[in-house]
This record gives sequence, C-alpha cells and structure tokens, in this order.
Amino acid sequence: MTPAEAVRRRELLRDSQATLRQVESVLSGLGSPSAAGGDRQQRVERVVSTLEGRRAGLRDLVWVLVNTYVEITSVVEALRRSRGLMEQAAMERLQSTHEKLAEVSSATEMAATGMLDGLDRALALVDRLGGSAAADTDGEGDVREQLRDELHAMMNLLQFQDLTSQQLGYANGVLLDIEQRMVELSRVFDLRWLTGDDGAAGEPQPEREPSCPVTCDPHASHFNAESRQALADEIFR
Amino acid sequence: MKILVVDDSATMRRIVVNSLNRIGFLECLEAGDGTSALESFDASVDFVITDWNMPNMSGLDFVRALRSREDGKRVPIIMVTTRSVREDIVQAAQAGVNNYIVKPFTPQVLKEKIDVVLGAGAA
Repeated sequence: MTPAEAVRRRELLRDSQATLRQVESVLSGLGSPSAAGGDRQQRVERVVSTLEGRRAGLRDLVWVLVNTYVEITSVVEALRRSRGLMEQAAMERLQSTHEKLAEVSSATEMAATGMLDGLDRALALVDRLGGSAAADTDGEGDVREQLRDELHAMMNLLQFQDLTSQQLGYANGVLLDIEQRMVELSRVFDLRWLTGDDGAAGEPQPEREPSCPVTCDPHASHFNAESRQALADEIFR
Repeated sequence: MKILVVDDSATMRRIVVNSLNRIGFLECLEAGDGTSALESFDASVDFVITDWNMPNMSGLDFVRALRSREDGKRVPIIMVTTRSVREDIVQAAQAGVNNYIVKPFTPQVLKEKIDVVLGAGAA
C-alpha cells in the first residue's frame, strides 16, 4: 500500500465514522419521546439534508438507514393498530364468556331449586298416599317407602349444582385473570412512546382480581368422593 | 336437638336439612354465611354443620370465631365442604372442627359423622 493510499483510507474511515455518529444522533433524536410531533416525511428530509454533501457512497448508506427507519416506524404503527384490535376483540369475547358462565351458574341454581320444589311435592304426595284408607295392601307400603328413598336420593344428587357452581366460579376467576394479563400484555406492546405519543405511559396499573373468588373451590369435584372422604377420616380419626 | 346449618348455597342448605330430617333431626336453623351464623348462634343450638367457601365470612373463620366465644367452645361442629386437600382438612381440625365431610356426601355419611361426634362428646 502506497503512502497516498494509506492517507486516503484513513480519511475514508474518519469520514465514515463521523457520518455514522451523525446518523445515530439524528435517529435517536427522532425515536425519543422528546421528538414528539412532526411528519415522518419531514423527519426523513431533515436527516437527508443534514447529511447532504457527504460522499456518494455514504449518501447511499444514509438512504438505506433512513429507509430502514421508516420501515421500522411503519411496523411499529402496524403493531400498535393490531394491539388495539386484539385487545378489543379478546376483551369482548372474554367478557361474553364470563357472562355466559355466570348465566349457566344462575340457570343451574334455578333449575335445582325447581327440582327440589318438585321433589318436595312428590314426597308430600307419597305421604298422602300413606295416609289414605287403602294403605298397606299388597305391599304398597314397601313400594311407597322405596319411592320415598328414590326421591330422597334424587334430592341428594342435586348437590351437583353446588359443585358445578364452584367449578364455574373457578373458571370465571381464571377468565378474569387472563383478562388482566392481556391488559398487562397489551401495555407491553403499547409502543406509542416510539412515535412520540406517550399518553399510556403514566396510566395506573389495573387492580388484579383474585383468580378464584372466596365462594369457589378450585379442587371441587364430583369424582372420587370416597377416597377424599377417606383422607378426612384418617385425619379426624 | 337444634342444628344450625350454614351454607351460602340455598340448594345445599335444603339438601343438608332434608338429609337431617330424614335421619331424625327435625329442628334446623339456617344461615347463608359465617357472619349471619354467628348472629343466629345462641346457647339453644346443639350442633353446627357448616360449609367452608362462603362470602363475607368463610366457614373456617366462623369456626374460629365461634370457638373464641364462651357459648361456642363446646358445641359440636361438622364441616361439609368440597375442600379435600390435606392441608385444608388439617387447618379445619386445628380451628376446632369435630369432624369433616367431603361433598358430595350421602345422608348415611352425615348420620355416621354426627353419631361419631355425639358419641365422642358423650364418652
């Protein structure tokens, strides 16, 4: 390498470093919250005019960088719009599911109450049959007693309503929890600060609901009642 | 014998009361949570059957509050609940529950536990 070539290379290197520093400074100025306002095109033109007069090769680099910046801001803007749509759609569906579960819980309670009323009336009818003059002929007494047992057994089966209600309560609690997490997640994707609109930055965190209300048991189950009872018996022995 | 039945589910209260009537306990008093149960409780109550998961005051807190009262120290208490994790059952025992029934229960199990608790009290 000749001394002239070495000098030329050093100049080129210094020039490149200076240009890159300038580009970095302009880009960070554009990206910071303090750079709020201003049309994107204007910002691009400002960058270009600042860097004009540089060597042709470096001007190309500037254009590449500026175009990249423009692309990035477009992606950020698209992300911001998607976030809004996602948040709205997900919240609406979660809210609707939450309401449906509450409705199912309420409907099973009403149905169980209706069935209990019906079973009470049926038991009263069985009692009336027992009190009639035709009682206790041809084993009717036994049949009435069996019928009474069946009606009581059916009544006992209605415990399913309480258990189901607790399971639904738990599912509802989980939905609320997911809703809260989605709100928090959407805050993470809230990139308004990049485009200078930092309205969301100071919003207070929403309060998180308990994952399961006090009236529900996440472990409520219709199954294996005997083995679970055996554990209780062992402890209370 | 007067039995206080505490459960936030009206359906469950009816089922428990029905089961009690069926096994011979005809005098029952009902409450929808721990707070109203504490208000309803007096010296005339001979036995308490309570749920755990209830609004306002849970069954566990109700048992603790009852045990801290002079007139509630000795009353037999059975907890009837869906909670069946060992830690929960131990916690109930430590709070002063005399026996424990896991939902769904049968009237036979209810009778058996009442007999056990009354038998232990008589012994």
